[in-house]
Amino acid sequence: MAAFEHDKIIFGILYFCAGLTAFYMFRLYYRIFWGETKKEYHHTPHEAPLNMTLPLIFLALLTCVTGFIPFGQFVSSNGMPFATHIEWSIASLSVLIGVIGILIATIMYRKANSKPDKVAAAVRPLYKASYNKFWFDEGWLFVTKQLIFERVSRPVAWFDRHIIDGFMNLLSTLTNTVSRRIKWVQSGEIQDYAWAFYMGTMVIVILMVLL
Amino acid sequence: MSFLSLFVIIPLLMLVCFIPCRSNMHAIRTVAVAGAALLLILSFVTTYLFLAERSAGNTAEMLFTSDILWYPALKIHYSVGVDGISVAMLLLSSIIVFTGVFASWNMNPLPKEFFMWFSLLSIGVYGFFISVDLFTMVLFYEVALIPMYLLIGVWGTGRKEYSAMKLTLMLMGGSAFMILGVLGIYFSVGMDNGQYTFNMLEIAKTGIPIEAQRIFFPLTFVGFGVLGAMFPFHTWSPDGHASAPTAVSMLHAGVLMKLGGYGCFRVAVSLMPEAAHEQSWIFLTLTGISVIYGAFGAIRQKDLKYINAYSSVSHCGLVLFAILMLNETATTGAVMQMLSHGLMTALFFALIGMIYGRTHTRDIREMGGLMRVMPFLSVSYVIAGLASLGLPGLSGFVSEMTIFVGSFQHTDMFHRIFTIVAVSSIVITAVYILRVVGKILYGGIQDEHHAHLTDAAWYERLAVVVLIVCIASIGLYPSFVSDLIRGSLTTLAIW
Repeated sequence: MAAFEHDKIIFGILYFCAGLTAFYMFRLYYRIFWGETKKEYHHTPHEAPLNMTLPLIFLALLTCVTGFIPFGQFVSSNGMPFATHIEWSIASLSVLIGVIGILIATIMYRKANSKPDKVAAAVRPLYKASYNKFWFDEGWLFVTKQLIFERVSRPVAWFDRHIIDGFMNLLSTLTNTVSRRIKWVQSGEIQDYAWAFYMGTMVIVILMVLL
Repeated sequence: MSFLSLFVIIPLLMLVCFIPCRSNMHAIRTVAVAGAALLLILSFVTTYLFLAERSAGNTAEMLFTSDILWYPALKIHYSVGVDGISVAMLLLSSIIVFTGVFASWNMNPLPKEFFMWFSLLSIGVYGFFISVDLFTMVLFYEVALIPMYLLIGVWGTGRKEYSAMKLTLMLMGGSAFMILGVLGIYFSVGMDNGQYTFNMLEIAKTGIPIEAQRIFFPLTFVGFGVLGAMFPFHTWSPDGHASAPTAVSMLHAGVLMKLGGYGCFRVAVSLMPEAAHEQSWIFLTLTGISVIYGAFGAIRQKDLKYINAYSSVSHCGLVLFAILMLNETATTGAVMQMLSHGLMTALFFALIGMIYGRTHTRDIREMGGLMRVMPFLSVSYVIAGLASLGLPGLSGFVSEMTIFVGSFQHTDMFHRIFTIVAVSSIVITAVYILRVVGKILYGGIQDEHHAHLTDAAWYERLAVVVLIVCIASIGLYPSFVSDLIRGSLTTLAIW
């Protein structure tokens, strides 16, 4: 009712979805519980024991009566209780769409027939999209696997292992190479050291004279 | 002489008491447990006394101070004191040392030598947290660093020699920057009036000229940032953690990386706040990158320890990120994150070590269905994973929430964009954590040898339960931690 007063388009969409809900619920109901038993079961189906049926009965009873609870007395946007009344025109419209949905489901699914296949054939692309859940899962998996894992994580790990680590390893290789190359200077020969000492002194003297 | 020095004396005594043990496993374990338990009790006592002093109205910056002149010519003192943040860090270290001892119950070969190096490591760690004198602080940092090389290189697994050398050299490089920064602070503090000092409290009072700050803040921050796994200096972390033995990984990821965060806060940001404010954008960029980079890098890894190591890079980057936000809420969050991540990563490494000890593989492709085989270890792993991805009720959520609220208090685009980028790392963390959990713990058993493995022994259960209790209690009652550190943040300039 709030949607009806606020925005008719939203109301239309919600109205259609209410009908759809009735339709698919009863489709499910008819498919599972009605029709001939042509399926081979591994385990013969039987009635559930009391510890399963009693909670179900309890919940079902609650579902029947909860609608009559005046929620407006307890829950509202500003904490003050407000009285609700039934707007009969909209209420009867929504009951109507529910009944229409149930009727369509009954016609199509109560007995095994070819109507569902014909409808599916008539709207093949829509049927395919709905069957594949609008490819949402594939979309999310694509983003995660192909984009985040492959295009971001893999290069990051590669960069870390080869470029950053590689730079550190380069520093160490450089240190090792340089030290290997200049090793020969430590010859152990006194003559070499004397020569270096003499040449060094000459250079220092010349520099002191020149500067 | 303040009782705080006991934190350094007890591990020293442990070191000495190990010598007569020879190869008697029973004696070695007794000394280790006794020492670790003493340290744990001491840290609880310190916390209690600290809180008592604070509620009695003592608002001095550092409590339980003690100062001994060490080397008069260079004005080096052995100066100790604690404030709320140090107390939190001391608690963290004691818990991890205690649980680490139990996680190394069956260390071989050479268990006595292992525990001796471990004690030396804890001397360095405790000394760092109680130091008030900059020189002593750096000294203890080096003391904590050197044993890492041997602990990883001898008792490690995989490419241990390479990892040990890389870790030590890179952290030494960091300490070189650190020493440069500290010396710069020392000389610039005394430049005008000749009052050279290494004491942090005096430097904070006097202040440092802004020209000097501009040079030495980056040096100090990078120096400590190397240890705090700041991009691009984080690369010692994955290999180092993966090759280290269990207790060493626990201590390193849990405590040593927090030395970096603590140093950044105490030395870089507190002593040089103007330069921190000016240059924070550079380091915010780098730490923001490490938060995301670590998370994305973790997704790709196949080795449990590498995943956890990259996760540590990400979380420790968040600590530095929060410190750079330079406001009270974010810094509170940073300290809580240090505490929370320390405990959580210690738990992770302990569990990985226990799983590795049983399955002899750390490759996630070779493991599966372990929940049925080792329920205690698996459930603990799930809890650790949930703490890592910030599930409310565990400590990770509290600290990350505080950090992000504090970071978002900056109203300019730059800070806010980086905050949003950092928040998105939570999602990435969830991806790699839950993937690993699903892969190795659930599903079918990959290797039929795994079906006959034993669950945790009593000493392993003790270590794991202690850590989980700490993580959960911080998650459920965080005000204990935030009250502890609140008084220490009033000196921080609010930007």
